[in-house]
Amino acid sequence: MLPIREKVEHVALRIKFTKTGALQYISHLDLHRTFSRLLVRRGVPVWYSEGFTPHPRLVFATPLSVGAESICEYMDVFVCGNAETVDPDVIRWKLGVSDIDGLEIKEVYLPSTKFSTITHSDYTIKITTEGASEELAAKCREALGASPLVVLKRTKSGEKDVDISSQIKRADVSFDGEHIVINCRLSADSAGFLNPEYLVKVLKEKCGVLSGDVLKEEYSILRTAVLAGEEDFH
Amino acid sequence: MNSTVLKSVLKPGRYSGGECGQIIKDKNDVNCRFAFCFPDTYEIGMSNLGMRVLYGALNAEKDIWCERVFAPWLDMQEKMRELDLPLTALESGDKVSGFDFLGFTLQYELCYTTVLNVMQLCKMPLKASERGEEFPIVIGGGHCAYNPEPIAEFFDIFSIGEGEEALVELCRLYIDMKKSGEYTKEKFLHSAAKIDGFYVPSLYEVSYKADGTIEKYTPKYDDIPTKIRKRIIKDLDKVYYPTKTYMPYIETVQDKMTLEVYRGCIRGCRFCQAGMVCRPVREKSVDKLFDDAKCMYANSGYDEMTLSSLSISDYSHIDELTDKFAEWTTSNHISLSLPSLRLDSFTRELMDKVSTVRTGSLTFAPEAGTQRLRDAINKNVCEADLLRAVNVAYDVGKTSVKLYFMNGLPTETDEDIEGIALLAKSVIDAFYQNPNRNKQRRPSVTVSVSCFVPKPFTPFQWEKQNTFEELMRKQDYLKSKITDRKIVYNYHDATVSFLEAVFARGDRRLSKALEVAAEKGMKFDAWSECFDFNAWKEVFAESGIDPDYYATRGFGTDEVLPWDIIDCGVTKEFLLREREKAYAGVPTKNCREQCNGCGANKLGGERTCCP
Repeated sequence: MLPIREKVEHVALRIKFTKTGALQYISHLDLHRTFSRLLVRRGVPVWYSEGFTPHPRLVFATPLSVGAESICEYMDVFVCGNAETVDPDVIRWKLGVSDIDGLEIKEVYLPSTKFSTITHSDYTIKITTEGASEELAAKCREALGASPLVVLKRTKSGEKDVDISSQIKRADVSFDGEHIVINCRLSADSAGFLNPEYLVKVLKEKCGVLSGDVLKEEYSILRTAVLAGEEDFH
Repeated sequence: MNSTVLKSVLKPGRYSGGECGQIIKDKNDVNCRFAFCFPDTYEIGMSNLGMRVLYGALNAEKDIWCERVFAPWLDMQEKMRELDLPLTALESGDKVSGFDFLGFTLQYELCYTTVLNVMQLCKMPLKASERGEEFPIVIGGGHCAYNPEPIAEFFDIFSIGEGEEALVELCRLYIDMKKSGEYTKEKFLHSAAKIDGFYVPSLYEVSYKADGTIEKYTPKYDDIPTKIRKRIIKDLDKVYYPTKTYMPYIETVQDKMTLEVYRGCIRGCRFCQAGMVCRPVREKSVDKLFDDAKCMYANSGYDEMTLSSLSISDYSHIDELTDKFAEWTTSNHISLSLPSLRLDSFTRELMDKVSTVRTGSLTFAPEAGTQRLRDAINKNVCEADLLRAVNVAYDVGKTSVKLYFMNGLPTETDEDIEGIALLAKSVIDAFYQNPNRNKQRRPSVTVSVSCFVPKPFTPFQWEKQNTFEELMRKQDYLKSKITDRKIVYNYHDATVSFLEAVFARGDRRLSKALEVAAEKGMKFDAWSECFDFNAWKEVFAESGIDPDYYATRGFGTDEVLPWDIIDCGVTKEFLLREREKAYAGVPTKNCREQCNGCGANKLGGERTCCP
């Protein structure tokens, strides 16, 4: 019944982009849709999968939870052609300035690495809370440095207590005169991805941050780097 | 919106705004701010074509800024109450109560409580008479505005008919009056009432007879019309169409390109309000449609397109259109869907050109179980049409079919209800008789039965609705007649349909009931998790209203009907003629075969089939 389609040569193209502002509230699946449409309307020669319902193939590097922003997201998309015929600069030019608020295209290139080499992500967590001070920062530093550090984690098989201390490679806490600021490096490999929300959860439970007026207190999470070992992922 | 609040609710993408295609203007550069509300959730409202059209048409005016407003879901409403947050518009995040206009699109009667709920969240008085100059002018439009009386007390103005041109004119009047300094709400409403297609309910007094029926409508001024004629767009090729529009990030009910092909309907099914109030038929040209489609695709990147109309196969150039689209959609990986296909037009040729029919099940709407009743409602399809259509589907390997019916139609007997079961059975039998059928799978037929609701401006507008007890009996009766396990039977909640009938044919006195319902915090009646029939019984008892008066009472043909203040083009004489033909079981030819003199041709229109 379906028209038989010839196999089309295709190659992976990597796009580094940001996901900030209102875009932080959309899920992985939503981003997938939004990004596919951006590529199509900008005339990128997207490759369509060969199957019953052909669709663009987009693969995102590492999960980012809803409510977290990032200046370093990576995505691979398959485009028609091969490493010789596809010119990333031309595609970069086609994409132009993104018309999606919070999505800025940073780099377009042919990748030489795999997403599976990613080991860690760096985050900056900024907490606006009553009682923010050097003392509170010290308290937070201590809380995050504890080992074991047990949190109630939601998993597929229900909730269970998990020790996350080994997944926190580094957590520097400071007070910038206004906020409690946490710069941290968390595990991001497939075996032990740690969602930075858990750090906020620990501080809520153990240090009493964010327990006052909801309209005055808030926190933001920003992913600042993705790493493969000690190096920046590329 | 505060980020802590957003992070604490389900689907924050409903409230965060910032979608691609939204229109942002500098509020200091505009003279009129219009908050356009779809009184349901974001996912439903963002799927609505009418809202897209009007949003784009208003924003095409440099000095008007139209923004979107939706009803927050229950969890967000709780947060807003807890923190005393007012409802804001998505684009600017500004309080809705500070806008110049608050417009509601009224798509179904069960949204009325949500309309009032939204006004409560905006911290505005509900009654128009209690809202001072500092509040937005509240305006309603859409299909329910053809009988706006049950909600008349809460609205300043209703826009009757198609709004693309009318709303801009209204905003222009507002801007001009503000600029010249002569603006007061009272003067503005009086001037608005003089523009074609605008009904200002406060300027019309309603008096009642001793038996409770309406005596008459009296205009308060001599210079305003005694009947408000609906507005139409004469030439659909020349009017604004949203080829560049907002695109939701989160999943909505319909997230694809929607291409409106024509307005109106040539059929005239006697229960159908849309088929009457959208007349006359006006088509877009094939060239314009193709241009719009390409433009929409270039601006959006969507991979799905749906052709929208009341009955797509009745478009006079449907073959030319689908041929033209077939190649373009295939080469761009766009899947094309044709909803609202009549079963008498469903052919193998058409099926091969569209993709929705390639996957999933097929849906047809015979509406009634026997030929006698199908003739009475003027559906103009027969069992042979249905069997031919399902055989086309079976030929290509389909095994499941959905059939839509209605219970409680005027003149319906138990024989007609049993007919539904027999028809479903014959669709199953046809499967086994088809030599090309998919032999690996069992056939399945889903029978979905809704309840008839008499609607204004239809030949059945005077009919009584079956009591919900009777409808439930009929539902049970049909259940007892369906014995084949391959037939899945679904039916609608009869109490919901009862409420729909009350508000569809209600008059101004029903405002009282809605006020009581709003005080009780009722909302989202179209959602089964929120609909509470017992609460509605209390509402009617407390407000001293007998809902049966509106739903299950037959209206007299000499009665002044609440919606007689509106002229939708189609005349009462035509509706009465159609009603008599229904009783006689005589179908009416479609508009293209023969003009039946409905009266809508007086409104004019390009590419129409009217004489």
